[in-house]
Amino acid sequence: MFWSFLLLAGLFVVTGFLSKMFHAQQASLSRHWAAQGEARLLSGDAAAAIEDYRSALVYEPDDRQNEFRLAQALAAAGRTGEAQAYLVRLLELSPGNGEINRELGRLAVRAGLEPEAIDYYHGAINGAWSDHPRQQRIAAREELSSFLLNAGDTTRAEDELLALAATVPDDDTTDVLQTAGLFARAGKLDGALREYQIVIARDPGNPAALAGAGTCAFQIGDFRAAEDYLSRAQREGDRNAAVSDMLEKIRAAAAPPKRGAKK
Amino acid sequence: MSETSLETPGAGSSAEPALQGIRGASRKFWKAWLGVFRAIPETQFFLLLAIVIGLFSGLVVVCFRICIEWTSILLLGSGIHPSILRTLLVPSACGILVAILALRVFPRVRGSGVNQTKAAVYIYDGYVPFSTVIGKFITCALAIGSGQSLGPEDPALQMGAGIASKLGRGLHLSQEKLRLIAPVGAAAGLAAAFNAPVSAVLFVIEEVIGNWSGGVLGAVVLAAVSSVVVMRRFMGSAALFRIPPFELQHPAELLAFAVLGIVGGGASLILVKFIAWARPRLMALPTWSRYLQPAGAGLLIGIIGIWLPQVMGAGYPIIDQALHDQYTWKMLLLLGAFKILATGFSFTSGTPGGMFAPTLFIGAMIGGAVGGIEHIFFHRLTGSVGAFALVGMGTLFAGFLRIPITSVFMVIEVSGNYSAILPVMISNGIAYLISRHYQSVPLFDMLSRQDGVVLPSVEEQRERVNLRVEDAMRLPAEDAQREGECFEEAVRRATAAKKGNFLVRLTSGEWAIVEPGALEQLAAASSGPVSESQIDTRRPPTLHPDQTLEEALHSIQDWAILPVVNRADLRRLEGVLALEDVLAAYRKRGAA
Repeated sequence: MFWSFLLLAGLFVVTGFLSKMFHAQQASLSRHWAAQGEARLLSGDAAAAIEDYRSALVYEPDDRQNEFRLAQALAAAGRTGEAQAYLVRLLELSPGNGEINRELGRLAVRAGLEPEAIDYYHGAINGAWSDHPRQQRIAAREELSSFLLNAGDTTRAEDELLALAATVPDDDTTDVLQTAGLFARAGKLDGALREYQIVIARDPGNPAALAGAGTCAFQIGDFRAAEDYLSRAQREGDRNAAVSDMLEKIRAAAAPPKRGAKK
Repeated sequence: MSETSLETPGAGSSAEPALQGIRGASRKFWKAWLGVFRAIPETQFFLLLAIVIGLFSGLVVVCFRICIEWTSILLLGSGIHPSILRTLLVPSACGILVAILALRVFPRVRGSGVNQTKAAVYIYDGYVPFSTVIGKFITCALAIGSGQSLGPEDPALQMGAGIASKLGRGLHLSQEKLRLIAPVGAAAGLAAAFNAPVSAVLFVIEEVIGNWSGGVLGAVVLAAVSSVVVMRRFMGSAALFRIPPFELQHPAELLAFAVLGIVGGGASLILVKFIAWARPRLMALPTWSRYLQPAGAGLLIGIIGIWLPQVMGAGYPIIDQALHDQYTWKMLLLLGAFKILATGFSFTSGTPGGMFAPTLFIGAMIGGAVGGIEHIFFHRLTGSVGAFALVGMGTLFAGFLRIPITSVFMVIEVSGNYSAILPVMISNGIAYLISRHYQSVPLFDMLSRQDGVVLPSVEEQRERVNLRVEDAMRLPAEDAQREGECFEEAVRRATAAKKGNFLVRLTSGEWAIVEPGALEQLAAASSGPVSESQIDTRRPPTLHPDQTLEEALHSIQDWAILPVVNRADLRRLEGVLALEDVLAAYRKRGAA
């Protein structure tokens, strides 16, 4: 009896030691395979990344980040159904997760499922993000707007763009320009011009904003403003042929007719 | 270094009395504890011992699982796709090593471990040599870790039984308790391996012991619980499988699971028939070939593993992936089919290892495949492929291992999802019935008979129709006092009919037997009034029509005849029963 208890105590200690080593090794292997998967996914080898992430999940089955990355790898490899299965499960576990909603939105876009895509993207826009939530929400709304424009649903796209314009801060030049571009694609030239003007007001020498504003003004028919924006854009280094072309047309239209020219 | 060299003069001279004091105190303390233990009656001591057995088994199974994992990483690498060279070489090379160990060093480790534990209970008075525990640990870790398509649960069951047997022998338990101790350890081992105490208890009751004996049930439960506590302490409390949410939306969907039951029953039959066909043939080959059979199986599995590495080993991560819709139905079908082959190769080759994990694997794959195919035709099915995989695990369990109750509870326990109960019951029930119809002898019974051992078949015991008193009793025409007939009249009637062993109803409501000698005396005194005081004072026990004949035999003893009375009205005589009636009933059934 005494020896039994002594043996039990000894076995307890040994098992505790072994299990600590075991868990440490499992975590280490999971990290190793996840890192390899990350590198392969970034290099575009999605098929190999899938295997790596699956290996990582063998050792840490509940690592949601790796599951998410596996889903991304599956999606990148074109295995949409499998990716969706993972993402849906992850979304059930954390329903308000913006990242998962956006990935599901992207899969829905790929499948051409507009209502699902809108739902998921709205989930992403209103969801929780661990890093840079504001930028991520703006990016998600930009993706949604772009998808709606591609799908020809301009009415919904306009709604999203108005919401986007209200959300994007004036000092975020890249996103304001992106919003302006989307407005222009939607045919909402007033909105686009307004966004370009926001950038120009903060950065008068921004060639992209000047060119965009000039193009919008040209299409609206405000040639004076268009010439001003486009010529400033050229001065700031814009070498876009379309800008030169528009400028030429405006100047040609504004120039007095040559003497002796036949009517 | 000798002990005397430690006793340098002066050094420790002050510490020595203190040390001796501590030693003496600890000895006294231990003796006092032993005294306490010895004072405990054996029945209660048995329950305490069950907890200790559970702790030991839990610890050993934790080490076993870790060992399998490390062996696999060491031999096959940590990735899910080992290199082709490793895939081919490792299972076959380890197969040779396992065969040498199993044939030369640990000759009792062949097989899954379930029948060996049953044999310990029914043949060897609970004796399981401890070398079997060591052998099972080493050979199974090597076999499963090298990719043989076997699982760790049944070996864990046998290891638990071995640990329990060793402890029981060490503590000089009575023969009766020693016989009971192996199933206690078996439950502990299985519970730790499965992380599912209820399923383990049910399995041991359903397959090993065969009855709900109160004497052992408490110990089995305690051992299972304590081993699972240990397992969860070291390996985490997560269930064996992470189960996707599952809810049945419409009753008609149960039909989809009924189809799964049919397919699962068929798949389990294929595996059983394959084992039934191949195992005796391989066993009949020359002895030297047994050294090569596990290697051959390993090579075949390696060849499959080049394209489908998922079939190698126990395959729990793959089951998890199937449960989460990670494979297309075609892939699931392929994995299920090739796992049947791989498991058949491994098991029939005599490689030590269990059948539980492969059964779950095949069930999950077949279930997922059936679910996937059904989804193509019936888009409105709400049960995901993962849900079908979950139910499929139980279905194969029911069909292949023929343990219907355990199979249902196992799915509920590993999933923690009670909403799966109806699909599981339907699918498991159908698979079980199909398997029983086309394979008369259950797997474990078939294996023991192939080994030349006749162990009691729990399924046969369970399904045997017990003869009851009502099947054997006679109507009390001439043998007993009639309703409303007065005592004196009844005695006269019996005397006139020259009937011995006549039943009379006493005024107290009891029954008495008038034996032949007493009847003559009564007949001689028939000129005067007959009273109850003239009858033998021994009163026969009464029987009821629904009691089994086995129970009746216990009561009959040396009584020539017994009254069979109604349970609701003890004065109402339904019939009479004699030993000859019991024998006649058994003869009649034997002839039928």
